[in-house]
Amino acid sequence: MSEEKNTRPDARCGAEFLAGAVCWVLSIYVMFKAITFWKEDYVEEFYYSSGLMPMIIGIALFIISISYLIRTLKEHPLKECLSDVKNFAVELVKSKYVHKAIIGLIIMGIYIYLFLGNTPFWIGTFITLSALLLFMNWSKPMSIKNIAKFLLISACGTAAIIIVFEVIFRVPLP
Amino acid sequence: MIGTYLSFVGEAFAIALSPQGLLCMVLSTFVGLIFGMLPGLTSTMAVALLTGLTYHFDGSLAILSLLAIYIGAISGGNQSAILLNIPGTPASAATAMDGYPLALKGRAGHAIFCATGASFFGTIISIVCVAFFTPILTVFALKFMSHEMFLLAVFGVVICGNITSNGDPLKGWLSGFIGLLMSQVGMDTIYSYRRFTFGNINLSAGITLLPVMIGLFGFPEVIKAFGAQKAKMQKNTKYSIREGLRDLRRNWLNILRSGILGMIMGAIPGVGEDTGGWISYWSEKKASKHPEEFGKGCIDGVIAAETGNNSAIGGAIIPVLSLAIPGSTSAAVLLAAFWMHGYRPGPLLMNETPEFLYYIVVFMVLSSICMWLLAMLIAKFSVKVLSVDAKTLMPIVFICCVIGSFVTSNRLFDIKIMFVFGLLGIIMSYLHIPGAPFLLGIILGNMADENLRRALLLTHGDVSIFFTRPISIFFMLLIAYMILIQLPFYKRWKENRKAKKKA
Repeated sequence: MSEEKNTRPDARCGAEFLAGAVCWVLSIYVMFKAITFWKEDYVEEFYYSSGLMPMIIGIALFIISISYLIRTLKEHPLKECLSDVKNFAVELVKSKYVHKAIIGLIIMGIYIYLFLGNTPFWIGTFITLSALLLFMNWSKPMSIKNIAKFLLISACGTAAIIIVFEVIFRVPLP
Repeated sequence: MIGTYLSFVGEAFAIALSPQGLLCMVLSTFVGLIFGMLPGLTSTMAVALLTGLTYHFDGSLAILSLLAIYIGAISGGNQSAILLNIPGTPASAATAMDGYPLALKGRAGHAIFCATGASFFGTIISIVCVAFFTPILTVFALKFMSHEMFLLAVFGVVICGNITSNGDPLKGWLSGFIGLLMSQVGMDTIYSYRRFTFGNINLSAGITLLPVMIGLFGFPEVIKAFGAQKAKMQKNTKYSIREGLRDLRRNWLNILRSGILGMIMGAIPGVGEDTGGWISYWSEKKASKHPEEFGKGCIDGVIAAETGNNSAIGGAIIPVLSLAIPGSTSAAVLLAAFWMHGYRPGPLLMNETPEFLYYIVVFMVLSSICMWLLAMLIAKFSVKVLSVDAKTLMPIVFICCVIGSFVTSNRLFDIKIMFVFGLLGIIMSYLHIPGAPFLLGIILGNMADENLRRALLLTHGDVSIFFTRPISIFFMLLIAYMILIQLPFYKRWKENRKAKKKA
């Protein structure tokens, strides 16, 4: 637990600055697109065109993101924010929790983008569940007994999901 | 007239007490209790998942199941809060303050009994308010014109951003307006012009609410499991019914006050059950003759917190039924479920489907009774349930999230949406940006867009309508006030005033 606390980065001025900057850019994009929508939807008056609400949202986001940026920069100068971004990136790279989370997300992403729709549901689900369970519960040394236990949990979990959803509730599965 | 209402009540009882209805109610309450008990599984997730799974059910059975799982999930959180000092749902955070110290003293069973009883009474208080206030609010809501519906939507997002962001409303408003932006994706409601679709045919239908909800609220919990540690658990769950009932009777004023406070908190858009629990706990502590005992194992604190968080359930449903604005994230999912099954909550509810209100009231009463009985029955076994490791459970929860996202429209695209918004949810969680305003923005965005443009179309662009009717002036002033009280110069002025008074 203490090892996690030392290496897991907390939300900081660098991250806040980045978030504010991204939202500011987003607001400019939305306002620009709002005008495009008005020009393209063949409605003469802006007040009932498709661009009205996006423009209002864009202006609101612009004001909020500018306030957010100003507040962050008031509390921490720009130089500090930029060096914090650098430190934040270094800590992200070092954090074991982040490594675990990224690998977990990759496994989930592979399941969603590669397995689903391209392989039978039970195969993709069994492989993904096994991968996630083994990865999340990995400990050195990992005995054959533990590996078999997690594979059994995956198999039972997959079977239970198919029986409960497809057979009992008649819910179509991906 | 009364005969008609009684027949609606009779119909509701017939549905709920039929073999199918009983099975749905008992199973859903049980699953809700399990969801509530297990840290990392929230009531929102439970309702969102079951919404997808009950898509093919008969409408009233689906609504019964959803209400049952909602009540079960909010109530179930108290068991892990008391036994593990980890609230099963955010709504039970206040329960842990006194629940866990009681468990350390060997009184976990007594705490669970009182907490469950308080949950039951809290839900009943809120149900009475649903039955009483919804028709009144519906009549009031019928007076709303298009521009006032727009202002109501903006007010919902602004107040939600204010209250849910832990003193940093800029983040709440940012979340809310990005949610509003997401609602603009797809074909607009008046001219069917495609906005922000980037040529993708799937995005033309807009971003579906359920995958966003599951991604935003489910994903961060699944990812947290990567760093989860097993918590120490108290195992003694024996209790005396007589002693429990005596404590509940002694706290009748506490229950009434917490019930009303929780109901009010639940009715405010985006606030929800966790605030209801905390406000009630704080209020009981203030009113208590022995406030120093709170936090050290005072049963009054447990009762206040659980009454407050459960009464917020009915409170959250009142604006859903009368204004089509959810009071909490779980209520937001319920709203989506009502739409899916052909019910139209809002100002026209009492005209179009008046029986719906009575169905909700009866279903909630029966679900509360079912919850109390089941919770007491499984209290002895909850120890075994709670010992399931999060690292073993969360991968299965992830698969359930995938299925839940898929079932509403049978599109693989929705699962991808869930994943993308899951990543966004992780980033928002890291930056302490609340997800509730985001969700509210997505729900209210189209309503705001359609009503604003309709209002301006009818008046040929004349904005003076916003300043001529009392309802719109009221909402404009309220929104301005909500923003003003968060501005730095106002806060500074208030602090100076306080300092001058002290001096």
